[in-house]
Amino acid sequence: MPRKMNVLGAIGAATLARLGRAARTAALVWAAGTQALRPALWTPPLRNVLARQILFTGLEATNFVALIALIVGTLVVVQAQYWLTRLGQTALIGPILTAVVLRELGPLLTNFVVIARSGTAISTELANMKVHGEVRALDAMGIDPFVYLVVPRVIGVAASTFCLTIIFLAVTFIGGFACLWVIRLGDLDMGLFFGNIIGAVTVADVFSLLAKSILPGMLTGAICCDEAFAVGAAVTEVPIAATRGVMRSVAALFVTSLLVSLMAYL
Amino acid sequence: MDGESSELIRVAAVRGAAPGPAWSFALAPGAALWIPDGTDSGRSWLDWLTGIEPPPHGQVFWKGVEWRDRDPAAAAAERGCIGCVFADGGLLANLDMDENVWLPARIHRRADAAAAIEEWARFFGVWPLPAERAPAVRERDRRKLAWTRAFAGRPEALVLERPLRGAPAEDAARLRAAVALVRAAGCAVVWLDEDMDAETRAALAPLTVAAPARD
Repeated sequence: MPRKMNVLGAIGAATLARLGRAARTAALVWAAGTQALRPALWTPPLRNVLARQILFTGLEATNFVALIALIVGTLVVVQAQYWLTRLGQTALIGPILTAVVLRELGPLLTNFVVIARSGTAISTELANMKVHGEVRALDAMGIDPFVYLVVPRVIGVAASTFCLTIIFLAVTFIGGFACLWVIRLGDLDMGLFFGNIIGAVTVADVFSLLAKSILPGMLTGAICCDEAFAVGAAVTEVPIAATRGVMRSVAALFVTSLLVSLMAYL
Repeated sequence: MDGESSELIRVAAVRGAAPGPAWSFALAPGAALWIPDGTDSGRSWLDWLTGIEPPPHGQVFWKGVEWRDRDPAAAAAERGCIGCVFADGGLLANLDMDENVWLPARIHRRADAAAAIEEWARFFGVWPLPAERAPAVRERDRRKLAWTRAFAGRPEALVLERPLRGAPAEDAARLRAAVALVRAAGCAVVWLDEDMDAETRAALAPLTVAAPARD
């Protein structure tokens, strides 16, 4: 009986710890979001940090995201063409692209790219700043590290993720059209193809897209900053913070996507 | 100033986490104080005096109000009145050196910052400010840029953490002269170092040496 209680206790303790971390992350996202709405906060150095974050997370990732989108668009169209031809439903390619890419794959893959590139970079950069006493220096100079380091990163990652998701979708649809045009040897009406896609988009899709791109972006920024600030004085803690930041961000991405899908489509 | 006190900083029965004697002292505007404590239980006196970390035991007051009793935003604004020189430099590696010097002035929206920054950068011999990242700048210049940043905010108090470590005699003399200038303008100075050479002692006179209470 005591052994059974120990197991239950351990499960309970682990669950409580995870819930505590989730609550802390939610509080960070909320605080960053509300702070960002204060115009007085955006001093030139903060705008500078935001611009650099958008440059790194958004602009510099554009080519890679576009390449992934092109490949995904081609893959989805090839599979859809193969199966829908056998079923005699080739007109459904547009709606299928919408359902698969706009609702799920687009936001998910874009967030993966952002986590892999920027999540690790944010954790590593901020953890190094903590280890080398730069965060302490900011604090001692009356510069709130949360405001100066966390808020622009959370907002920058979220804004970049949203823009990259839109680019991802645009490239996927254009790439999908080009692939289909080649497969059908030019026998494809562009207006009909894109009309089918746009016609399949619902209001729920728009809200789902917004939620699935912006929320995980904010969570990635907050989680990676949180893990970075948790390091102590040892340099060896920096890669651990980066790994934990990425793992938690991926978990948050899947949970958020699942919850948004359930709310939007059930 | 908040409250009735004319003291800028007051430390009451402060000691680290490890058992040891407690420290109590006060600092008025224009005064200089040397804390010859190198142990600090893993935490720095700078952290305690600027209120970014409360001491494990005792209280630290800034302008008559304990740091712990201040609202975080108000505490951050008050810290903007304190110039700090950090033993490890405290310069941000992801900013150019000129951005580093300008950072507190821009965050705290100091209107007269440009003149003060140029004045102190010229005083320490680092004008024009280098627009390069920290690793590209000589250690000697990095040290002087950190001094410029601390002095350019027209601080009410300066907390100098081992400021002369590795500094050549010429630079050390400059810093001592700078300290004398700001003290004459009413700035209190706290010098944190285990040792202090005779020249610095003489330059900081009248100097109070903080000492822990004996049981």
